[in-house]
Amino acid sequence: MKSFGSDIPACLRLALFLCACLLAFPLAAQEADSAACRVDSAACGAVLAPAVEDSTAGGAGVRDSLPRYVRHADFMRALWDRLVPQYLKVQYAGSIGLVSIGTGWDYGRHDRWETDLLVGFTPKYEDTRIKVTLTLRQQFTPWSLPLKRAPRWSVEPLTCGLFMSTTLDNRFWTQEPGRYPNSYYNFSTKVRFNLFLGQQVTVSLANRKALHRAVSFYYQLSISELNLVSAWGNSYLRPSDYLSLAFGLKFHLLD
Amino acid sequence: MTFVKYLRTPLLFLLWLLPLVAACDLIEYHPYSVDTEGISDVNAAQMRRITASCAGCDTLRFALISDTQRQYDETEELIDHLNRNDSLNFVIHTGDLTDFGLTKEFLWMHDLLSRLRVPYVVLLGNHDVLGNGLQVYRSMFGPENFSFVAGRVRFVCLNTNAIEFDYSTPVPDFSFLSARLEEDAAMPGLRTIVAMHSAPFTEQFNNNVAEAFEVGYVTRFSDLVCCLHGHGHGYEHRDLYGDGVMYYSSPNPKKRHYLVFTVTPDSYSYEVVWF
Repeated sequence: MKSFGSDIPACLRLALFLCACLLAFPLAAQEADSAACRVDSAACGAVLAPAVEDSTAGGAGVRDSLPRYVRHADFMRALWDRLVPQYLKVQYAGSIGLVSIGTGWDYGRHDRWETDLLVGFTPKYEDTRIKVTLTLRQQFTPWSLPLKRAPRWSVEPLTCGLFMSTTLDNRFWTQEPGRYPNSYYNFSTKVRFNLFLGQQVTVSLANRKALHRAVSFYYQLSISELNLVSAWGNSYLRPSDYLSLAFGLKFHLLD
Repeated sequence: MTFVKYLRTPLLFLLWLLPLVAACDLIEYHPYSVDTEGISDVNAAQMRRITASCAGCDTLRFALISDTQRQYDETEELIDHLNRNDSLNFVIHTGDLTDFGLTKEFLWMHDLLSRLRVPYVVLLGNHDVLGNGLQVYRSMFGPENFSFVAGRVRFVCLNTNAIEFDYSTPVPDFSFLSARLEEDAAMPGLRTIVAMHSAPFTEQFNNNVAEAFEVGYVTRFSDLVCCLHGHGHGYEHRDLYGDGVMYYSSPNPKKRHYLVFTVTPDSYSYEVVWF
């Protein structure tokens, strides 16, 4: 007997679970202490504060005087605002497509962490069809160094992280099809895991005509887990054989 | 405040230089891109070389290698060793060039094999089918079933990796074998060697037709010498069906030996060569 939902792909099941969590969240938030709401609706409070400040003693009192549903709406709005992607990336090569476009979020202290979602396109070459590849990338940028001689420029001397990519093509599988004996190949042809190191330069465009606050140029060198296995113990292979180079631009929209 | 001015700052200069130095080989669009860098129909070209160089030879000497996947160091030594043997006419690789079916793996192994002084042919292994490896194999090496004549011996090379295909793809392809049997009747005096990657009765073979394969096709070739295969990763000589037809299994390069066969008009012999 198949268990319920066992024929739904794992990623879809995860997405359904996340949707269910988001729907359930407002109920949970109602129960929570309203202190959290006060902090997150500070922006709204700040707008309203001057109008009512004359008649009340302080900001906290103002926010407390707002109806609970307004505070909750503010809290939910702030929550959804954080889900809006903050930048656009365009990348050339890097084993995830000839050209990939994507978006993502920077967060954490000094925005040192980034999570990207990219979709990449590979021409068909001698294959029968083009390949579409989805990539989830996690990046850490430990330093950002402003250039003294060029105040609008900064250099990120190291970016590092990992990314996983999956190709939308039914010839590739995540788990071995049932026709194989158990653990026959022990890897997935569909999902690749990669490590990368790179560097980045950012130029601030903050002027009246600029469309973006800043633009970054980056490159990164990556290695997939399969190439790592091949490189291991084969001095015949050189780094230029198993490393993959990518160039890209990051357009800072909201961050 | 020109752009060029900032390119000249020492830090940025290094930053721009680094990727440009390495750029040429490092660009990969997709691990399964099937970008074969213009390499195509290798087997066809090599078979023409074999047929031309062996024309009129009574005695034929060839090396059997297999399963070189992810053994680049050992394969390099193996190929150096083969190149020191002046008596070889050609080399047969019975499949599994790659471990993951990646396009780059095919290119790396092709780079190594093309160092061989003598011509070579490559059969399709089960690992070579993974992902879209079959597309890479077909565009780089050609069809997965092929045959060629060397001197007085005809080599029939087959795809026997049935588990990698569904039932709509005939593996082994009996209509291909029937066509070779018809040619066989039209060309008397040729001996036959059948080569494949996976031997009958392995998990890869379509064992429902293992008996029919042997009785209906392989043993019907007029002067069958023996059968060659890989997949087992070790040297073996077995009379698989108990009918006197020998099946020889090629070791992989990690075992540091390979087989050299000598075929004369009325007999054959082989030796295990260590490197």
